Amino acid sequence: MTGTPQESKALAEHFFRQEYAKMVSVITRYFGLDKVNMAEDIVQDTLAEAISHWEFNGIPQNPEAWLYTVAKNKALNLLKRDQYLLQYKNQVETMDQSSVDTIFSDERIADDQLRMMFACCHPAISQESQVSLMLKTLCGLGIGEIASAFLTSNETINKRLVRARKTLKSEEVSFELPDSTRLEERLDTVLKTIFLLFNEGYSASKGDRLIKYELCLEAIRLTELIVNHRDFAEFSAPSALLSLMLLNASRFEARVDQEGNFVRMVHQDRSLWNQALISRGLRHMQKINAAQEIGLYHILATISAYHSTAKTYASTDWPAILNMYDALASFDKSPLVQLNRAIALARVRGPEEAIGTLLDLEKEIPASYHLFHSTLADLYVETGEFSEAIIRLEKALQYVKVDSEVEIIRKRIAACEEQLKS
Amino acid sequence: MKEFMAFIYTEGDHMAEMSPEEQQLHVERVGGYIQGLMQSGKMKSAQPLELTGITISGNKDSITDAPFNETKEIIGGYYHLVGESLEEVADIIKADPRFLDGPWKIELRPIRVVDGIN
Repeated sequence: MTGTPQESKALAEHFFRQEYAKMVSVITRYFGLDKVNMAEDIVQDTLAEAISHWEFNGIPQNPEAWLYTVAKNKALNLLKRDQYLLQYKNQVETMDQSSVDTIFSDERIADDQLRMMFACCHPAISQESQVSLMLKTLCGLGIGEIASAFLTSNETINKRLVRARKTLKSEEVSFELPDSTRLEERLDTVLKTIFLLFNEGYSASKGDRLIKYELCLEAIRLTELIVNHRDFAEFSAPSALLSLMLLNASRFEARVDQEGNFVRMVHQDRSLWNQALISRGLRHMQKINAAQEIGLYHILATISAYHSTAKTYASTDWPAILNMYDALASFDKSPLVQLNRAIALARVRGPEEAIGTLLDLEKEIPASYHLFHSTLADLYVETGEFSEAIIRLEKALQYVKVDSEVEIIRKRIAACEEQLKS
Repeated sequence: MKEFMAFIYTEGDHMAEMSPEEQQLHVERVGGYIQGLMQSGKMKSAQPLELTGITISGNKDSITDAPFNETKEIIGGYYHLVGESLEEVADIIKADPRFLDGPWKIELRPIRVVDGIN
């Protein structure tokens, strides 16, 4: 009854999560997308086996190979079961003859993860289900983690997953990349969903900050899979999106204060910006500068890069940013673009002109859009029109729901009143 | 020095419901705990047990084996420990980080010795 644990090596950060995701994609290739949950069960079982062995006997020298061998055997055993043997005869043979090294080669894993990505973003699946399915199968997040990132219940996330898997089955989605005629269109959907995933993580709304940051990193990782894949070498949009997310993510720490409130760019402590992410983001900018077509992500990435490379808020290249917003406004008429354009306009041509532009816009913007009023209030403070600023802040107050934000606006009103007295 | 057996009962399926990230945390924490005890000499061995097996029973006339009767609680592993007293070893068990991630039950039993002889 003696035994000494082997010299235990440490596991890489997120090892289980990443291996879970890789194995699910690779095994799905053998079972088909209609049985993606079977692949998930096999992987879950594999991890359960790893847990009980590793906690008692230490982590093996090559944990990845350990997992892949167990997963391969479990998958084969299932494929060989009577009810499946006929249906999966070919798969059994290929899997049986292939070594773990070929089934789980890096290239193969990347291929299968991309196939999975396109399947998760199938147009027949609703966008919120696409995001949940990606987080579950491609990022290895648990249902509870996804729920806390979206501030919703486990039950809701579970429903979305069930619906998404049903759609994969009913639409008979194949585990292949779309052909060249539909590749670009489908790529657009994939990028849009990844960007949504990133923005869920990036939004300053309440929620588990750690998990939210993980969402940002996962969105970056998924985009890197696309950027590094040979089939997508000719497209510049993935690099543009990657740049944008890296540059934005660099400000993750700085844009929220200790109490969890959003800190506007003007007040951010720039020493908190993550320089490693900035330089990665700028490196991918080089590819998009050579791009023929300029799209949404190219413009947003360029704007973000101007901010990232500015020493201070005041010394930012605002005329260049204003140009970019003009280009953006030509195809994106959303109030958020107009609002951001007005902020740049104020820096280039003065707050009076920006106020004029925003007032012209007012009838097109829903009254409940509180950022509109609070931006306007900022500009009125700059021009010294404090009573106008108070009117706007009070309007914003009607629509702000989060307590801490209400508090901040109250403080700004008090500051304006102070100014009026003096 | 006395010796002890600790039987680790698993209840329900909570390990399977943990996310991969939580499972990794579990392996690292519990693995580190076991290794630490091994190195300090407080633990002689520790192994997981399969959840299936057989039950062998009978007397000299008839010994039969039957499938192991699965119950709700099942021994999933054991620790063989060394310590001065039950209390000391109980404190070691209470520090098992597995308790951080779900309901567990560990039964601690001194290995029987006859005073003055063993």
